[in-house]
Parts: sequence; structure tokens; C-alpha cells
Amino acid sequence: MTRFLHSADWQIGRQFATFDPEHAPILAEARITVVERLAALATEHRVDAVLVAGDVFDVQTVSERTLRRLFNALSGYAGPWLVIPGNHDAALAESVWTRAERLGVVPPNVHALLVPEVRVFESQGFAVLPAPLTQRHTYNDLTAWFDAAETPAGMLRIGLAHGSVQGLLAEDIDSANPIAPDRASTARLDYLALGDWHGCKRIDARTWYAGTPEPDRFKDNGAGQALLIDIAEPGAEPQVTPLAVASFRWQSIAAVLQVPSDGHALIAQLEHLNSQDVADLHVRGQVDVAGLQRLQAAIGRAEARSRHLQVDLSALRLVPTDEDIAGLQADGYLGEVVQELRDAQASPDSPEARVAQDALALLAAELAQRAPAADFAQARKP
Amino acid sequence: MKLQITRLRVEQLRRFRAPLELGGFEPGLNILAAPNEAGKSTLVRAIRAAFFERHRSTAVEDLRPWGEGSGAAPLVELDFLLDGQDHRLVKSFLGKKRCTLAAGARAFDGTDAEDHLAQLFGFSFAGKGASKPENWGIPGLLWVEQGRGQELDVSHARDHLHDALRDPDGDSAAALAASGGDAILDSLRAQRDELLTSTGKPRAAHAEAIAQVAALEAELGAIDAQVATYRQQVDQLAQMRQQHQADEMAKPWEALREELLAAQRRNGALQAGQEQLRNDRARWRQLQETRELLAKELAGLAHQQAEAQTRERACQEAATQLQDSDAAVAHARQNAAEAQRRVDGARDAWRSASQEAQRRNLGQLLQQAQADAARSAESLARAEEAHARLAALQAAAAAAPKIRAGDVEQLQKLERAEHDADLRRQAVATRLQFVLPEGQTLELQARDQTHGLHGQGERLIDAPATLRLPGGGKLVITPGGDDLVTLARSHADARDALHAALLSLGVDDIAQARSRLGASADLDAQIKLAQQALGIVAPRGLEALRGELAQAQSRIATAQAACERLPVAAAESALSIEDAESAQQAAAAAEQAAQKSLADAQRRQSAAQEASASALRELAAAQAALADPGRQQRHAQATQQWLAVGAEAEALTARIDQTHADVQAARPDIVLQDMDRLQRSIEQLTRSHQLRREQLLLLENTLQQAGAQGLEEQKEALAGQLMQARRRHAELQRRADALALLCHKLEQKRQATLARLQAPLQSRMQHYLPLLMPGATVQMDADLAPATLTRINGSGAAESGQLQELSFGAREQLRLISRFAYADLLQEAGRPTLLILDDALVHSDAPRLAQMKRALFDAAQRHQVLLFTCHPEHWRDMGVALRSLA
Repeated sequence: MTRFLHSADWQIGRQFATFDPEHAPILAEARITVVERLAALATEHRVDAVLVAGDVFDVQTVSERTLRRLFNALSGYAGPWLVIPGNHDAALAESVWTRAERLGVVPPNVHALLVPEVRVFESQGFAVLPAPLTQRHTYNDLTAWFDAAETPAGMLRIGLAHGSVQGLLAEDIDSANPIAPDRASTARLDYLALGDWHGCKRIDARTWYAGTPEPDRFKDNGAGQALLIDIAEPGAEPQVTPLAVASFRWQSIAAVLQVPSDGHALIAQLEHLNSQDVADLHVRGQVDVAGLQRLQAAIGRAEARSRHLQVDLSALRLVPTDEDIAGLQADGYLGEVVQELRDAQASPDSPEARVAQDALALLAAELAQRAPAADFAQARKP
Repeated sequence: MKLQITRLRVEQLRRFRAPLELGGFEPGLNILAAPNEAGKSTLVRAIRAAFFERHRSTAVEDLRPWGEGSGAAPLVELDFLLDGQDHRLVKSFLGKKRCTLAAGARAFDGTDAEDHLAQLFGFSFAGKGASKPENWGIPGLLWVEQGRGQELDVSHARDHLHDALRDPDGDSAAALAASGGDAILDSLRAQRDELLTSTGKPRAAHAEAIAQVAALEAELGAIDAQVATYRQQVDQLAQMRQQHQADEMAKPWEALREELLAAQRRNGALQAGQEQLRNDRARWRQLQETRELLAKELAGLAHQQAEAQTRERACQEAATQLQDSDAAVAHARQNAAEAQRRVDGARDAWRSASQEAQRRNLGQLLQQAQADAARSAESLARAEEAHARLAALQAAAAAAPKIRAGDVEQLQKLERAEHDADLRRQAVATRLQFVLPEGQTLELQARDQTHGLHGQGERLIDAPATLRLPGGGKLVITPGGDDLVTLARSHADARDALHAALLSLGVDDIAQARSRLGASADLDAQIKLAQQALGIVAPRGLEALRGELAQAQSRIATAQAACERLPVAAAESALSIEDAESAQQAAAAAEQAAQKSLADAQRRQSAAQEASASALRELAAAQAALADPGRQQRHAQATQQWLAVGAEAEALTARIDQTHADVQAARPDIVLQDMDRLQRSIEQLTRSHQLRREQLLLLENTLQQAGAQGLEEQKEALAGQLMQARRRHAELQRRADALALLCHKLEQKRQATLARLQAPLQSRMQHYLPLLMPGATVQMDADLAPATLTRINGSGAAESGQLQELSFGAREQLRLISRFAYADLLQEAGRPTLLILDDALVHSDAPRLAQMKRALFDAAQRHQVLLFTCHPEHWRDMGVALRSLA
């Protein structure tokens, strides 16, 4: 009975620089932390090896500190770590792997499989067939050599590859290099550990994508997991158990506001965000002044509570109701201007509408500030 | 709301300790004239205090009567009609603080009364302390304090004015939304100006955001470039490693080294071959030389043989030739003799021919000479004849007396002179005509001459003359005239001269002279003719002719003599002399030729003899040489050697050719090139291999250093910063755009509203302004106060100026009529309007004052005006009685 832990796409070195500078380091740190967690899990479950199917690093020129930290994080598990380069960290003539070698930070139990040849782990009873990426762009099936590769009898044949399974994952895939969908069977593999797709996904009984252990995209595709694989003997069907390892929940919230109750629903949703949440909010539709104020207040609260909340309200139209307008107490020419601005939003997609909306919001804010002064207007009447 | 104050009463107020009551106010203009210090301004103050000051106010100390203590209670009572309803206001201060207002049936007390009043009249009360201008509202606008007419502060009454200017149906769209609108606009403007300059360009934070974006973009670009370079270098490293690896495996230079060795070996072989070739060739040349020598020798021997034969032949030939030449000589001699004979014959012929010719010649000569002589004689005779004639003529000419033409002319002249003198004399002279009968004769004696007169005639008497009359009487005629004597003398002179000349010339008269001249001329002519004739006949003269004749005769004699000398003519030789000559010449030539050929033949003969002799000698020598015994031996030797050398040479030639062909086929030049090429290639390959190794080390080093920089991490961080900077910029941009739009719209609207708002005010101003300044217009500012005045100047152009810049007097005038306009508007809006003018227009000149009075009169048709003045004389023409303060 051989047990493996399968993970991939750690994307160490990713900075999340587009996020708030307060949140980004935390999210970057989380990626190292999850590796430590993986090491801990591997030790806890007493796996025979950990399979990391590519894209360990996000870029070739990670800083030295990041490099060291990553390899330090592996120390939690003393068994073999089998790592192949993906498209982000391909084994070029000069790569993050050669740098790591030069710096001497690679522990002996970490096997960077940079050449496509069989590696036998006798004591653990398996041979691994790696398909490392050695070019910046690869367009051919690097697992093709698996079919003809010989391994000692009685050993498990474990494939380790990074790419997109042909015909199954069309969109949103990172790299071009294809993998035949039936590789596990043509190569007589007991298990084919894949990377590149960031969500946890079963291709067939013996072929799985583990996904990234810590999500790094808002798309909800089952990221944040690692796979525990048990294979009884060569030829037996692997037992695969997903383990949740992520620190944070990433989600994308798209809301359409038509009526006030939509706004309430959204606000309720926002109230549920907590410090584990990393959320991307897109709101479109229309809202009145009060609704917008409520929404903005709710967003403010949610931003403070969650790990990270990014908001896009550009498609949300501020449509003041008549009450809003009356409430503004804009008479005289102020009222006329308010009306004109409302009219300008008639075609919502034109740039004029955007500016008019902003102008109306500003004017409304000013008027709201000055509301107390309006009682003078009442006193005049004889 | 029509307001009319009807009664005013003050008590214990400043100078008015005792009550002062004024009643009977007109609904329109009321003029109160009083001297200085009469209390006009006190009354104005009283009215103001009655309205503006709270009855409980402690700031009304100035109302206290002079010298009074705390018990004083200044009192003001004011009766007025408001829209026909009676009102009475009673207010007392200080000592007794009271205020009541009776408005028709209603009664107000204390503060209520004051508030009601404030609301009615459009003013407010100060929170504490004295009432200030900002409280005075409408009355503050319309009640002009002394010396304050040129100022105008509309701000405190502005809201009332706005209200008044509103549309009567209260359309809020036409009204400025209080002062809140302006404050909002100011606030928005301030916010906009934070982000945009006055020309709409980004500034401060906005500009910084733009700059930040640009800077980050630049940085990102730089990092991108670095990353690209890094990647490129990585690829380069991979490629170079691959190449290096390949070379390490393949070691192409080894193969080349093998080839080089092979080439070198081949080269060596070729060189050996060439060496041999050279040797062979040298030997072959040697053989050739030997062969040549032998050939020469053999040739020489053969030559001797031939020589002998040749000599023999030559001998024979020489003998033959000798014979020939002998024969030729004999022949030539014969010819020469023949030619000689012919020559002689020809000479003889010629001689006889020439003699004949001579003879003929002489005959001819003779004939000719004879002819010549005859001719000459004839000529001579003719010539002599002519000569004689000529001589005769010449003698005649010589004999004839000579006379020249000039002489004849002279004669003529003298004759004429004489004639003239005569005429002159005659003219002067007395003329005596006579007709005498037959037989009668008279004697005239004059100048001792006596003339007998008879018949008819006339005589000139130029000297006293005596005429003797028959019968013994005499007439003495004395011609008159002084110069008669002179004339007679001159005439006589002339006559003498003439006679002398005639004499000298030997003629009797002129006619004779002329005829003599003519004759001589004829003679001359004839002489000339004779000379000519002589000339023709004897051009050279007679002597010449004679000479010729003599010559001819001598020639005859000679010819005859010669003829005689000639021998007798030969009968034969009909040859002409030319033929004979030519024949002779030919013969001579032929003789010469024959002689020459004879000489030639003789020479040839001697030569042949010589040749024959020598040929015989040579023959002898050649035969002697042939007989030499050693010769045979040498010949045999040489022949043998010749054959041997020939064989060797042949063999050698074959070997040479073979070797040469081999070498050529092997292309030694190419082999050398190969060696060179290979050598260089090997060098190059090893060198470039070494170079590549160095480059690899360098590149690896570079990449290590670059990798350590964490470029892509930096890039991601920068990208994040850039995105945020862009977002910030976009936000600021949106905000700026919105603020700009908002400010623009608000300003636009406000301006439009303001214009609409001001329209009624503007038109009311234009009601009054032409009374003061015809053709002028005034523009109100945003605060509804008059700001700019536009007038037509002297030259008809419009000029504008700020009101503030006008003179004191003009400002007061304009601001006063502004108040009239305000009052009109406020009244239309239903406000009570009361105008109080305390000592106004004191700085206006007379014409302006007159204009202002007209305007004031007009305003007073609509509003009650209380005018206080200390110059009653200025105000007598207002149609109302002046009141005093008594």
C-alpha cells in the first residue's frame, strides 16, 4: 500500500501586487504557509512521497529570500518531494532550479526531476515518470515517452506531468502543452498526477488535477485542496481523497441591482464576509441615493472585516428618485441642474452619462451637507 | 403695501426734552427744512430707533436727553397707514421700556410688537447689543443716513430683493435658490480648483497622479526590458550550451586533423614525384646536348663528303663558264666594230645634211638682208623728205617774226586802254561837228597840228584849238573841263604805249599782230604735224635708219661671202638635218653600248678564269680532306654514340611524361590549398570552441547576478503599483470631470437666472437713469447693486466704467436712483416702502440736482419720501411746501 500526497501550482513568488498593499503580503505569505501545511499533512498521513506537478514558483527570478523560504517550508516532511518544472518555472538553461542548486538550498529529499527519464524509488516501491517542461513555450505532448518507458517489475508507475488534457479543459488554461486524455492507460500508469489547472479535478480514475493548495483566483473551481492517493498494489485503482488545506476562501460576487430588495440581499451577503474571505465584487444595475449610501456603508464594513475585498461599481447607475431630488431641496437653478444631470444619464453607456452620474452624486452630497441651511428659505415667506 | 407715515411724536429724546409732534405728512414727498443743529438727524434717529432697536436695548444711550439721568425715558410715537389700516407704534426706552403696536384692531406688545414690525417691514433685530447694518434689511436700504448716500450695500436686503424679483406666481425655477446656491457653487468650485487649474489642466494631486502613472509606466517598461533581456540571455545560454556540448562530443577538429595528415602525406608524395621529375628533366636536357654535339660532328663529316662533291661540280661549272665567256667576248668585239662603222656613216650623213641646211640658211639670209636694205632705203628716203619739210617749216617759223599770244593780249589791252582813254577824252572833249559844202575847207589848229576839215564829220577838241574861218576869221575853241588835259594826256600816253608795243612787236596794228599770231600758230601746228610725220617714219631718227640700212647692206655682203665659201652641194643626202642628227646620236649610242658590252664580256671572261682556277684549287683541298684516314674512325664512333643517347632519351621522355601526368592529375596546387584550408579550419574551430567556453562562463555569471535581483518579483510589485496609480488617476479624473461639469452647469444656470432676475431691476433703473444721464445704461452685478455705467461720450462711442470710480456726487446720484428702483420693486412685491433722505445730494451741481429732483418727484408719486435738508432754497420747486421743525 503506497500513499502519496498530490499537489501542484504553488505559484510561490506571486506578489498580489494589484491588491491593496496591506493585504498583498498576507496573501503571498499564505502561499508559503500552505506548503508548510502540506508538509505537516504529509507527515501526519505518513505518505511515501509528495508529488508536486509543476509551477512550484510563479516566476523564474524570485528573490533569494523567497527561494530559501520555500525550501525551508518543505522541511516539515522528511520523505521524498518529487517536483517537476511547469511552464512558469520551466527548466531552462538558467532557471530558478539552477539558482537554487547554486545557492545550495535544495534539501536532499527534494528531487527536482528536470530530465524526462524514469526515477526509481526502490524502498518506496514506485518509479516516477516525469514530464518536465524545459522550454518557455511547449506545444507537444511531453508525456508521450511514458508509453515506451520501462520500469522495474512490481513497481508502481507514477506519472508526473504539467499541461492541459486535450479536449477537456478548453478555456482558462495556463499553458499550451497538451496531454493525451488517455495517457494513464496507454502508459500503463497506476496514477498520473497533473498540474496546471488550479482547481481540483478528476479526469479519470487514475488521472487527477490536484489544483493549487491556496486559491489565487476568484474563479470558484475547487481550488484550495490537496489529494491523498492510496494505491494498494500495481494495477489497483487508486483511492483519492481531497483534503482542504487552504487558508482563505476566494469568491467572486456579481450582483445586479434592479429594485431596492436586491440591494438588501447584496448587503446581507456582504455582511457574511469574514477574515477568511478574499472577494471580488461587481455590481451593476441601478440604485437610488439612499440605496447607494447603504451599499457603500456595507462595502466599507465588509472591507474592514474581510481579508480582501475589491469592488467595481462602474456599472452601477445612480438614479435618484423624485423623493431623493426633493430631499435634496435643490430649488431654483440647482434644481434645474439636477434635472439636467438626471436626463444626461438616459443613455447609460455613454461617457457623458458617467460624468453626469458622478456630478449628480457630488451635488447631492453638497446639498445633503447644507440641508440645515435650508430652513432660512422657509422663514422668508410672509 | 402702501405705507404712509401720518404722525411722529418724540419726547425726552436728545434735544427734544419737550415733546415734538409732526403731523400731516403727505402720502408722497415731505420736505423738512431746518437749519443745522435743529434736530433733523435726531428725528431720523428716532424713527430708526423706533423700528430697529428693541425697547429693552441697552445700546440706545444716545437717545437719552442731554443732561438727564437714568430716569429719562425717550419716547417715540409713530402713526402710519399700512394699506389703509391705521397703525400706531409707541416705543420708549431706557427709563421706561415699553413697546406697543396697534395694527387696526390687533394689538401687539413688547417683543411681539417688535417682531411683527420686523416681519412687516423686512428687517431683523440684533441678538445683543446695538442694531447693526446687517439687521436693517429693507429699511436699511431705503433710509439714507446723512453723508451715506454714495454708499450702497445691498447685501443685507438681498434676500428681500430676490423675493421681490421673483415671478409673481412664485415660479421657483426663476428664482435664485437663496444664498445656499452660491455657497454650494463656491464649495464645488473650491473642490474643482483643488484638482484643476483655471484653464482646466490637472494640478496638485491630480497632476501628481498622472505623473505617478507615467513614472511607474516608465519603470515598468524598464523592468520589462530587463526581464526580456534576461530571458533572451537564458535562451542564448541554452543554445550555446547545446552547441558547446555538440562540439565537445563531435570534436570536429579531430576529423580535420586526420584529413590534414592525409593531405600532408599526399603532398609529400607529390613533392617526391616532382623532385624526380626535375632530375629526369635535367638528365634529359643533358642528353639532348650530347645529342646535339654528336649530331654536329656527324653533320660535319657528312658535310665534308658533300663538300668534295660540290667542289667538283663547281669546277665543272667554272670551266663551262669560261668557255661561255670567251665566246661572249668575241661576239661583243664584233658588235663593237659594227657599231663603230655605223657611227662614222651617220656622222658623214649628218655633215652633208648640215651643209645643205647651212646653204639654205644663207640663201634665206641673203634674201632677207636684201629686203631689209630695200626697205631701209625706202624708209630713209621718206624720212629725209619729212625731215626736209620739217626743216623748211622750222626755218619759216624761225624767220617769221615771233609773236606770242600774251603779246597780242597785251596789245589788245593797250588798245582798249587807248580806246577808253579816247572815249573819256571825247566825252569830255568838245565835239565839233561840221558839215561843209563842197569845196569848203576849214582849218583846225590844235596842238600844233593843223587839220583840214571838209565834208561831214566830227572832231574832238580836247585842247584849245583854233578854227580858221574862210575869210580870215578864227574861232578859238577852248574845251572846258579840268581834266581834259589829264585825259588828253592819258589818252596820248595810252596811244604811245600802244604804238610802242606795236613797234616792239614789229607789227603795225593789232590785226596784224593777230594775223601774225595766227600765222605762227599755224606754222607751229604744221611743224608739229611734220614732226609727227617724221616720227612715224623714223621713230628712232634718221641716223638709226641709216644705220639699219648700212647693217642690212653689210649683212648682204656677209651672206654672199659665206655662200661663196660653202662647198659644192652634194647631190645625195636628202636627209634632213634632224634626221641625220638623230641618226647620228642613235649610232653613237649604239656604239657606246657595244663598247660597254664588250667591256662586260671581257670582265666576265676574266672572272670566269679566276673562278675556274679557284674551283680547281678547292677541289684539290676537299679531296685531300676526304682521304684523311682518321675520319672514318671518328665517324663510326660518333654514330654509335648517337644511337645510344637517342635510346636513353626516349626512355627518359616516356618516364618524364608519365611522371608529369601523374603529378598533374594529383593537383598539387589543390593539395596545398587543402592543407592550408584544413590548417586554418582547425585553428578556427579550436579557437571558437575556446571562445564559446569563455562566453558561456561570462553569460552564466551575468545570469546569476541578474537572477539574484528578483526581477520578476519587482516587476509584479511595480505592476501592482501601476494599477493602483492608474485607478487613483481614474478616480481623480472622474472627480475632476464631474466637478468641472457641475461647476460649469451651475455657473451657467446661475448666470441665466441672474440675468432673468435682474431684468425687472434693470428696467426700473432705466426708468430713472435717463433723467440723470441720457443715453446711459447701468449693469447690475450679481449682488443686485449697480456696478458698471456705460455712457456715450463726446465722439459717440460707448465707454464703460466702474461706478466705484465715479465722483462722489455721481455715485450719490446713481445710488440714490438705485434706491428708487429698489423701492419700486419692493413695493410691487408688496413691501412697505418709505424713503428717508437725510441731507442728500449736497455735492451735486445745479444741473444734476435739477435732474435728481425730477427723478425724486417721480419716485414720490409712488412712495412716501421724508426729505430732511438744511438748504431749503434748493427745494422750493418740488411742488410741496417746506415744513420746519417748529
